[in-house]
Formats: sequence, structure tokens, C-alpha cells
Amino acid sequence: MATKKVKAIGIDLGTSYSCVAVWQHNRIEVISNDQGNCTTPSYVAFNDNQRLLGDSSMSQRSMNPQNTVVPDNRDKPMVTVTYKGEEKLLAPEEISSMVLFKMKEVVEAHLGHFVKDAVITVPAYFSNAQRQATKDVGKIAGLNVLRIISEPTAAAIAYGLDRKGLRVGEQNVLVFDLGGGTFDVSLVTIYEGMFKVKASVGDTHLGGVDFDNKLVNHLVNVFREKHKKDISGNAEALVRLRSACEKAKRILSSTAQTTIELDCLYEGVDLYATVTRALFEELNKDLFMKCMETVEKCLLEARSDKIQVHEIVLVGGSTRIPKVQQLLKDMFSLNGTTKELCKGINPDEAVAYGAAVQAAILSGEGDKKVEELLLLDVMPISIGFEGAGGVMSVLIPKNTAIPTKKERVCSIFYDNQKSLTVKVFEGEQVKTKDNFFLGKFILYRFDPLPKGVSQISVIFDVDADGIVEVTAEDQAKGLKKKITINSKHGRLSPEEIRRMVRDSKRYKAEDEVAKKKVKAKNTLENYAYEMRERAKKIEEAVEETIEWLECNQLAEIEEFDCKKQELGRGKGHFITKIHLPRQRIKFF
Amino acid sequence: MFGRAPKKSDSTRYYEILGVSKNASPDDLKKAYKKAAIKNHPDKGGDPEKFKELAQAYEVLSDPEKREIYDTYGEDALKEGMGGGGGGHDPFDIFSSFFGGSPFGSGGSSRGRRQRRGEDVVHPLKVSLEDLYLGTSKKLSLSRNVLCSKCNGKGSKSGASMTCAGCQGTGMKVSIRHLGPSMIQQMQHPCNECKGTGETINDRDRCQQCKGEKVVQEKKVLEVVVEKGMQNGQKITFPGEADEAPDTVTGDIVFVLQQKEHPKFKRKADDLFVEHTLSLTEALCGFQFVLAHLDGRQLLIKSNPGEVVKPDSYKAINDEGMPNYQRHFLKGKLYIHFSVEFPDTLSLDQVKALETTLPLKPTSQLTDMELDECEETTLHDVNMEEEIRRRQQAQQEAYEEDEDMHGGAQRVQCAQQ
Repeated sequence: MATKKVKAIGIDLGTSYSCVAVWQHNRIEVISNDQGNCTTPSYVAFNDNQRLLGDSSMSQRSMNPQNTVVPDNRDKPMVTVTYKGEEKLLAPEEISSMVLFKMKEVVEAHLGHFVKDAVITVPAYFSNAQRQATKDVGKIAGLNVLRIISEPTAAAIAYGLDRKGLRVGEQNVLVFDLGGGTFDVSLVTIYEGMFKVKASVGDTHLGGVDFDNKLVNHLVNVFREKHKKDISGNAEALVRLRSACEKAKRILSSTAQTTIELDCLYEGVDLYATVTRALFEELNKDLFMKCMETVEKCLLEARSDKIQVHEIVLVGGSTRIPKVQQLLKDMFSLNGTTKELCKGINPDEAVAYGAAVQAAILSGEGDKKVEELLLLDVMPISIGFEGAGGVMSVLIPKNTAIPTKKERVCSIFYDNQKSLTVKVFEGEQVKTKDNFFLGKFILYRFDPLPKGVSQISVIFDVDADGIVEVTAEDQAKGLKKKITINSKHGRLSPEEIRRMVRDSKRYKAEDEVAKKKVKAKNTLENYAYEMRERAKKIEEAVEETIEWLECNQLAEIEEFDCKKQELGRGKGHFITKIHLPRQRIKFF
Repeated sequence: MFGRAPKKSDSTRYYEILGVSKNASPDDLKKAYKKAAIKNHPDKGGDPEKFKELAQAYEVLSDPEKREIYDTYGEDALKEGMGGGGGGHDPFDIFSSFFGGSPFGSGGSSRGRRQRRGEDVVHPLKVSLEDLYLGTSKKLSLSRNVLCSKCNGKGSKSGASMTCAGCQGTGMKVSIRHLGPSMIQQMQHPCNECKGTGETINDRDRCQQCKGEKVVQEKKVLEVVVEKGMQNGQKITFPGEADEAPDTVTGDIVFVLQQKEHPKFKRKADDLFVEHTLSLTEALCGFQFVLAHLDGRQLLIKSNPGEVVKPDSYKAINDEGMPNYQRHFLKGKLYIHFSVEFPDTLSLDQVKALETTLPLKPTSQLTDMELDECEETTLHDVNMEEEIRRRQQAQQEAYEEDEDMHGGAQRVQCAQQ
């Protein structure tokens, strides 16, 4: 029998929910978790006994708000939690790795074997450093990350493959990705199986969480005015309220009105409020307009007009909000014809679906349809070097397909100049001081030559994983110097990664112990209940025999013997069934 | 002068990398690139270095400006910054030195003669209010001059040109016109031989495609997208789409929107105004009517219970005005200007019924004695326009009388010469 090929999975690592998919039975399947949900909360909880991942972490959030955390990709703060009575300081990468670990477990439970290789998605605006950091997260979780791809590209793949297949000609797809914590708009060009991001604009502080907060703040004010009590400082009350508001938001996507009822929310006072869709829309009007402005920016950056957009793909749970869909539809309607949004794709699953397609391509799985696809990944941010007067000389512009290699021939400024410094920057600003410094090196020992004569080649080389290598070469003398940009800034050091891998294994082991403990407890509990039930039956039989004796004092010898045997048979039956040979039940 | 002119180098390698001929069309390039990219991408087991070369070749050849530079000067010119490495021309690509030196430039020299700017072409574009409400696009066919592709706008096969004998290369000629026996007028005009360029082309060297004119006629279809909420007089510019000419920065084609009159709606910025006449009963007791909007929607307009609409008053409906141009999702207000139509007469029964229903008239108690002292009057209809006209006529006659009274006054006359 041939060796079974190890599967590569696609993971949508989201700010609030994550999703996993895999190529199976000649198609992409989105995998449900142990609760039967296709998306798993990106939450991690810690308590006195154990660590909780997924739905179980979500369900206890209101009781344990301080120790229930979510990966914060926006501001990257260190988080303190209390675990088994000890305070622990966690990096965002550690928390993210726990979420990835959970997704790994979900798919392994479904497939029945271990998985190792994965493609993970990130927002389109993630810089090189952030992408490499996400690879680190995967490593901590025990995954081999084949590729980091952008969420809009993954969504476009899902659209291109799932709904209309491959069509002749160029298609411009606007990917509108409004998730729990971040917002992305991208224009992706699909040309006969080739996918390329033309433009991508985002807001790292806009998403479903922000819509919930508007409602939370509104109800905090209502509660204050009505009951003269301020709950904004009470973490437990706020978590309950936020959870209820999130639920209400979902309900309002399909009904016009709902109620929020929270018993004993604060100091014994109940909260009861009716929330209408109109109110929700009014509270969030500014945020919805911000979304539409971002769409305009994206089209401007892509130098495209609305008329050139063929399809609009919705990604992320918050795209189910009717007002958002209405505004988007209105924006693209022209000549009185209404532009319909692409709703054939489940917004929660599209990104994981696309990531799984890419995983299948990279691992050699998939069918002919998948084989013909090519994902042209792009540089998320422009890179270049510092030129005259601190000007950013862009060598590889944003959205250039990778792998790529660019060369620029330059010259020195001074007569007989003997050395020069190459400084590499990342960013979109005109001046390097407003951009992000990546690294530098110095080229020495030029031959003395007049200015303008010497020719220096600067080469930027980016591989398929986005690793940048910069080389400077004096063509005449053959001097060469290079630097590989590792994007160390803000990234974990190798020592930290190793420590986190060890911690991850320890957490896993402790989780196993906790599981066994729970299992043993459950076994004992079941055993005790069973014992109690059988004891009741024995007692009943004994009482019955005693009653007979009191009424039959003058019975014959044979009758007495018969009754004894009857009781004895019952006793033996009980003893045999419960397998307690050492048990002694004495009857007097 | 900094640096040196870019030297010529190989300009066929990119075509070979893509496997296309030197005169391949953009479509040919795209197909070739797609096919080769799928084959050579590292994700497909291809060679990363080869893919990088493919991407570079396609990027250059798919950009008309870069392709021309590549065809003329080769690969090295692009490396020296011609055509711009990213987002525009960047001639100052140098390093700060180890000693913290300041900048200087390298790369190509600037042109000897400053380019002049071509004329813009301005067209009015009539659009209806519906067009501005819904957004629309209009296709317009225009013909214009474009540089001859065969000779690249030189007019000659060899690229050479001669100084015009007629104007000595200045492009202008001076003509003298006699206005009279002792007056002349001196005028300057473009030389008719060289059309103001100062250069002529030998007949035998003349380009066969443009016949030495340097430009050929091109018919082009422009799609003018009228965005929702655009204003009357707003301009839609197509940069660089006007007539091309050698050594000239091509001008723009500018469409100026002209908003047609609408029979029902009037526009003021982002607000819309509509007139509506109510009967007296409707004004007092409530009204309901349907208004067809610019996009065909039927709006139900109805009064609030118990509300009285006064003559010449306005009511506003939010978000039913024009879309805002910058922010399409924002709309102005729709104002309804109400007129009330009063009946000319009422029957006595109607008067009695109304007196019972309406608030009481203000009381006036006059004694019989006071009434006797008053003189009774009768009201009659007037036409105010006629009254105004009659008053003006009377004033005119009074003025003329004044003039007659001063009859015989001396009049100043212009001195005859």
C-alpha cells in the first residue's frame, strides 16, 4: 500500500474567530470543531485548574473576564493572566499560537491523523515583519508554515474556484472584508487562473467589535440615566453586556427588533432594553461611512473606476449587517442598474477555503482545476533605499508580484569617494525618516575615481516567502556586499521562540493531565450513582423479606428455606453484576 | 552636466524571455506572461530566478513608456532610472556617503528645448437630472492627432529634419499689410511651410505613413463616467487625450457638465426642491400624495395628523436629495414647497358650518351710535398687476408735465467740426 500523503491545511487566523479547511474527497472542506461550529472563537482562557481553548473559553468569559484573552494584532500588548494561581505574562504571539494549536487539534480530530503543514492567512496590510512573526506563531504551535497569504487573495480564490470557476478574460473582484476586529478592502485581478492584488487598503481599528461597542456604550448610558448607576467600571457586567450586544447585533441582521434582558446586571438591578435595527444603524452611521470611504480609497489606489469592478465578494461576519450591504450596493449601482453582491460564498469560510486551496497547490494535492491556479503574492508595502536628501527611492513598489528582483545603477557624489552606506527602508512616505528602517550596510574601498564615473549596482531580491535580500556591487572592482532583511524589529528572538515552543508543549501536557482528571472524575461519579441505585434495590428486597416473616411466623420449614434461597439468589445477582468480590453484605 | 547619456544595450532579451516578437501586442504579452508564469512560478516547481526575469520583462514591456525606453536604449537605461523604478521619474538615485555627503544627480540629461503644453479640448456634455442622480456613463467618439508610430513623430524615415527655409527655423513669419497710403500693420503668424515647427523634411525622406506630418488621425471612443452628485459646470478631465504633437506635452480633453432643466425638480447644491399645490381642505385636514422620484421610486408624502400646512411653507425629507459627489452615500434633503389653493366663494351653509368648527372670530362690539357715525364701504376685486401698471403710467405723465412746464429751455448741441 502506498504511503498516505500528509495533508496541508488552510487556516484563517482571525481576530475574533478562526476557521480551518482542508482538501479532501476532491474538494475543499471546511472542518467543524468539537461543538459543530465551522468557526472557532479566537479566545484563550485560564483558570485555577486549566487552560481553555475555543468554544469553552468563550462560554466562561463572563465569569472570568480578566483571564480570557484574545490575540491583539492591532497594538500588540503583553497580557497578564492568572493560571493555576500564578501570574503569567503572555506575548500576543503566544496567544495566537494557542489559537492555531486549537485549530490544529480540530482538524486532526476530524481527519484522524496528525497534520503539520499549513497555509495561514493574514490581513493584506501586514508588513513583512508581521508576516514573518505569523510564521513564528505557527512554529510555536507545532506547524510547518508553507506560506503566509493575504486574506483578500484567499477570498478571491474561493470566489474564483467556488462560484464561477475560471473564465476567459480579466475579472476585477472587490474583496470587502469586514471581520470582528479589522477591515480590509482589496481589488484582486483574476486572469485565467492567475490571482493578483492590485490594491489593498485597510483599517486596523474597525470591525464588528467596534459596532458592538457603540451599542454597549449606548446601553451603559441608558442604564445610568434610568438607574443612576455607572457600570462602565465593572468588568464582569461589561462582559455580559458586550456578549448580549453582540448577540443582538446578529439577530438584528435578520429581524427589525430585539430585546436585551440581563438579570441582576449590576448591584441587583436588571437591564431590559428594546433595540431596533434603525437604532443600531444610527449608532454606527459614522463607522459605516468610514467603510465606504475606504472602498473609495482602494479604487483610487488601484486607479480603477467602479464601472471596472465585476464582482464584489463579502468576507467576514460583519458583512451580514444589512446596512453595510445596502451602502455597498448603492455605491456600485450605475445607470439605474443595481449591482448585486456576491453572496454565494459563506463570509466566514471564504478565507480558510482559499488558504486550503493554496495549501493543496503547495503540497501537490488537488485536482486539475487546482493545478491550473497560480497565486501571485505581492509586496504588501513598498521597499527601497535612502537616496539624495533622505528621499525614499522605491525599488519595489507596493503590490509588486513576488518573487521579484530589481536593479538600480547609481553613482557616487564626491570625487575619490571611498565608501558608501546602503540603508533599506519600508513604507509609502516620500522621506525615509517617515518610513520604517529595515537594515543597512557599508560598501568600502572604492578605487579613487571622479564623481559620476563609478557605477554601483543595487539589487533588491525578494523570494516567494517575502524574504528580502539587498546587494550592492561595484561593477568595476567586483566589490560586493549584501544583507538579508530578517525583519527582526518587533519579532521574537530565536531564544524566545524556543521558550514558547517548550511552554506550548508544557501547556499541552497540562491540558492532557486536566483532561484525564476530568475523565477520572466523571468515571467515579458514574460509578457512585450506579452503586447507589443498586444499593436501593438490595434494601427493597431485604425489607420485603422481613415483612413476610412478620406475617408468616407459623409457616412450614419448606417455606422458610424457600424464602432464604430467594433472597440469596438476589444477593448473588447483585454481587456478580457490580464486580465487587470483596464486598460483604451481611443480613441479620 | 551630470552623468552621461545612457548607452545603448541589448533590447531583445525581454522579448526572448517572454517568447514573443518585437511587435507583440499587449494581449500577446499578457497571454505569454500568464502561460510562462504558471510554468515557472516556484509554487509550480519552477525556477525562482526565471520567474523574476519573466516578471521584470513583462512589467517593462506592458508599460508603453518603459517599452519605448527599452526598445530605444535597452535594459541599462531602465536600471539608471529612466521610466521610473516605481511611481514616477526619480533622477536622483544616489547614496549618502560614508562621510555624510549631500546629494547629486545621475542618469539622463534633460532635453535641450523645453516642451510646451498642448491645448486642452473642451466639450460641453448635457446631462439630465436623472443622470446626475443615478450616475451614468456616455460613450463619445472623438478623432484626434497622435504621433505617428512608424516614425515616432519625427516625420522622416531617418529621423533627420532640416531648418525651414521659409522662416529660418523660427517657426514664425512676419507679414506686412498696408492699411492706407501712409499706414502699415506688421503681423506675426505661424510659417505655412513648416506649420510653426521650424523644421522641414526632405520629400524623399518623408515618412510614408504620416507623409511628414508627424501625426496621424486616430478615432477614439471615450467613456465619460458621470458620477452621482456631480454639479452643473463640473469638469471631467481625460489627461493627455487631446491632440499629440512632437515635443509637446499632450493636453487634456475636458468635458463640462451642463445640467438640463427638469420639469419637476429644481436643484440647489445637494438639495432638491419640488412644488406642490394643496386644496384648502388638504391644507387644514391632512393630505397624502405620491411623488415619483428621479430614480423611479414612488414616495408617499403625507402630513402628520392634526398638522396644518400654511401657504408658502416648506417641508423637508432627509436623504432624498441629490447624492453628494464626494460621498455618494450621503444625500441632501428634498424640500417640498407648498401652495394652498383657496376657494373663491363659499355658500352660506358652508360659512355656517365652518364658523361652528373653526376657532371663534375676534369679537368687536360696536354700539349702534358708533355704527351710525361710520360710513359704509363696498369691497371690490382688484388686479394688482393692472394697478401697478396704472400707477407707473400716472407717474410717467407727471414727469412729462414737468418737462412741458420748462419748455423752451436751451439744449446743448454737439459742436460740429
